[in-house]
Amino acid sequence: MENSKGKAAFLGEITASVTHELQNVLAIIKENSGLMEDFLLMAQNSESELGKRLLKSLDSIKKQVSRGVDLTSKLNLFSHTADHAEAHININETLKRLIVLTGRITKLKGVEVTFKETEKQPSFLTDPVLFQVAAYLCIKCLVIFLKPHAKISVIVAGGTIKFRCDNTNTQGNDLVEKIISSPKWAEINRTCRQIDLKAEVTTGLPGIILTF
Amino acid sequence: MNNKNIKILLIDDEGEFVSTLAERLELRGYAAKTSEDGESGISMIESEAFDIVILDLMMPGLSGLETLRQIKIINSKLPVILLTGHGSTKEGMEGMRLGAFDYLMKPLDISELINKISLALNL
Repeated sequence: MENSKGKAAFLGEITASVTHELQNVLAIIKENSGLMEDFLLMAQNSESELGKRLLKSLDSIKKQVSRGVDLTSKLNLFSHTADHAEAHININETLKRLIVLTGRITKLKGVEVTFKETEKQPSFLTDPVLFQVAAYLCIKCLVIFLKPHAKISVIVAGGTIKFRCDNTNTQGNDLVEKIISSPKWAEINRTCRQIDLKAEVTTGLPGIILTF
Repeated sequence: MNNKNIKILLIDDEGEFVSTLAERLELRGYAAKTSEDGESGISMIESEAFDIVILDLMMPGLSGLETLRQIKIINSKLPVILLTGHGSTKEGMEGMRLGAFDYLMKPLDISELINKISLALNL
């Protein structure tokens, strides 16, 4: 596999397989914790202090299994986006999923990224991996310059994807200049050119807008 | 129909998952047997009567879909509920097209499984 598309397909295939196996692991954990709960309720010890404490732990296991399933499902779908060099994608679902998968990265910087659903989008023919790379680069570029507690709203409307900074605690023009002069901006433009997206920096509520 | 009269066959290559699920169903009064692959599952169906089959889609050797096809050849009226992973809904829908009663995502909720069993058996 020499080219980048081949590399992405390789990573995608392995990830898809492992996420499926992880879901089996989570299923085993869930069934065993469910069985423990069954025994506890049968033994009628659930009202004792120890019983209540055990039920609380089992409830925590269930919640974390749910969290694990959500992440592995999304990762599995994400990994399958490398299956084809070109495909019809659902823009809203793709961006929502990307935001969840990159949530930990942006949270570590103290920035909250949310997807604001506006209208149902028709499917869009593109390179799914490069599309997500472009979107992620936009988020990453903004996160670098934002202070903790800032928010980024991702809005799809009228043939555009807006990555809008809300509550930036910084001057709009300041941010615009920083974005344009950053190496990330050059990378965004290079990526967008490959998939016929146009990238622009917006003033007012500062951010980046991709036009497709 | 008393749960004890309901014989369930669980076919899944994850032995620990399927044995624990069988134990939980037994605690709820069902008679549950397990198989860890499609071939032995088919042999069990040929040699004893089951009311319903719970079948994993992703298995090595004889795949879940091929196992389903063969089950339907042996007994077209035997209801089959498929288990699939999140991200494999396409296979679940293919299974429905081949005659499965329904499909559930793993990890599953046992109350949801019991509800599907009741629906499949018209209880």
